[in-house]
Amino acid sequence: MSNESIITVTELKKHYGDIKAVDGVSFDVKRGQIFSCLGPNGAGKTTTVEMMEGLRTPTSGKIEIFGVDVTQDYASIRHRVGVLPQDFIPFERLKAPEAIAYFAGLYGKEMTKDDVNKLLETVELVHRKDVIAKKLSGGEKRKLGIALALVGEPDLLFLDEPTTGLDAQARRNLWGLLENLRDEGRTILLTTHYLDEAEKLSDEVFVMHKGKEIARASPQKLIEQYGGKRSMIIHGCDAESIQKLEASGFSMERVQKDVKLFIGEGESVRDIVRRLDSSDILYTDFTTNEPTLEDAFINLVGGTIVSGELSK
Amino acid sequence: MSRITADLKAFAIQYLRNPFGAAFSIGFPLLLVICFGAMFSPSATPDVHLLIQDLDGTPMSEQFIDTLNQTTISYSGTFETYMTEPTYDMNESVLQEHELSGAIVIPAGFEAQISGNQSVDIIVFLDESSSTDGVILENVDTAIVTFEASSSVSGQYVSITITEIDNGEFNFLNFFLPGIIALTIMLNCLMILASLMADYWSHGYFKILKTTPLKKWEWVLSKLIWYLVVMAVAILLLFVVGVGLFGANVTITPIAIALIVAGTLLFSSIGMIIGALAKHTDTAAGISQAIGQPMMFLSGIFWQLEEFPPIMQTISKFFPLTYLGAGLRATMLEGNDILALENLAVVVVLAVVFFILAVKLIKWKEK
Repeated sequence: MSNESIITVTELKKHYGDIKAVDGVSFDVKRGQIFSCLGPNGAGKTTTVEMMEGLRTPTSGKIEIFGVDVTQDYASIRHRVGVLPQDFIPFERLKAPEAIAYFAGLYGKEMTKDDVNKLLETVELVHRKDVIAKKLSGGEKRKLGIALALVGEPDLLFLDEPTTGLDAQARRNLWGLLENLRDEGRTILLTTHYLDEAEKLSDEVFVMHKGKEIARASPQKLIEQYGGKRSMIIHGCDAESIQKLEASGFSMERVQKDVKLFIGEGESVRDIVRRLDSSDILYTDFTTNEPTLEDAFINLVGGTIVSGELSK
Repeated sequence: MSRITADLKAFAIQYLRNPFGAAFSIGFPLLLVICFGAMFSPSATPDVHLLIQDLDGTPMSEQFIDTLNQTTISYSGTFETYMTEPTYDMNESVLQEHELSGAIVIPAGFEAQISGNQSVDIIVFLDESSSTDGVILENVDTAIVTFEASSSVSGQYVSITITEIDNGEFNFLNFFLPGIIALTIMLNCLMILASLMADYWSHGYFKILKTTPLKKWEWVLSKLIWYLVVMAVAILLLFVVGVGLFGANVTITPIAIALIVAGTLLFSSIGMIIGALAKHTDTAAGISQAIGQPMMFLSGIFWQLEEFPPIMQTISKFFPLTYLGAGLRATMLEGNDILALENLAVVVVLAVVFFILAVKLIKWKEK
């Protein structure tokens, strides 16, 4: 990853009458980064991305990609950008290799049959190459969309919710593909409402809610800053041990029959275990909890995302 | 150029994989020609009923009639002749009324002129658009050669003057074929393209294409090229069926080709405008039907405009299909190139205006 900014967004707004779909967001994306726009449905992620893709005209603000103002001249950078729209539907009567050949023609790329097959293998669609797109499953259509976004060998990829509709294994495989693309030096901007996806893949996460920026940092920094303390769940404590725990000054809370102990700054799990042993507190076992991006998101927004929607 | 080729190829594959679209594009007009052809054409080998009128009444004219009756040429249908009185007023309506194929009038002075070594004209009434005209002419020609070779004549004196009649036998199919070509262009380019545009909107295809290097005008041009190809195939088929199967008597002229190209551009542009404004397949289909159907019935495709009430004739002047149909009919059927060029000029001007409007109005971008 370099310090060169591929995308610079400044005070970007998109208003539809009184509705502020995007309300003054600013960020920049560095070359070779995976940059995630994270937020529930209606946060303004897709509107922001579609303005960057030249599909919507901003109400105000500026978007520069490869140093070009996209509101003035998106055409000059189209060949360097690959796009998977959120609501992508493939051309229904084309088979996957035909659709790839079509896009190769649009991007002026020469592709042999082997090249097409290789790309289909990359998105795990080679076994479905003789089927017209209409008959592909939702996940397979998504994979075809990703293949089409890759046809032009773009420097910059916009992937709007790329793993929606994919099963767990296919999602992980796609994560691997995206990491490989980043390693090749490509820049990826993805929108997602999967918190684990953003945490696993992103170099930087841009949390959006109600059209505004809530936070922007690497997943680790967001977790450190907003994820809360690490904790241990102590199982199998009897009433006496719980009394001793309370008397020993632990920062704790009851979780049904168990006890949750918060690990303080500079403390380790081993330190806690020593303290438990020295206080003669009896328990059967324990589990440790590291804060995640979901914890950070909950603390930032006041809820988590379930099926794309904010759940409080 | 490679982008246009790529788009054209992908569109062609999708079009050909949609059997309903292809069937409607070509099948519907073809069905109309077959229906009208079957209704308005006689059997494959029509019988010939030839009326003969002898205004001379001399041995030599009788000899010619005998020769004519004895002449046999290779013809699978029935060939019959009938005599009529010299006083009978021979004209077109008589032939139409009695459903006759044609008539021969031997003029008064036939024998006197031949005897005086002067040439004489036999008048042959014919419908040149009918498939029986060749049979009649061949028969009369053969009879003349035989007659002139006889000992009583021994010389080439007899010639033929053809009087064109219109017995209505193929009239409607001839009238209909250029109209159906115009209708095919309108149906395909206006109605189908309007729905296609809306389909592209509702499926988000424009959104995808907008992110690629394909330019809007390249997409529009690729559709125009494809619909010209479809039109060429459809019109060729209409011709094969109309002319080949039912013997329609129309010809393809350079002006007709220019009209077909300009008409395709015109109706494709209108279709794209409707599709761009409607954005939903059902709405686009509704609007294109609301525009296309009155145009289909009020543009002189099925009936001659002169038969319409004056108000309808005035309304028809606002329909582009009127000019396309009239132009094609003028050049393909009537050979009236001046009238055809006038109509071509209207179609070309409208095509340019609507094409510019289409390119301006089609937006690939969301608001």
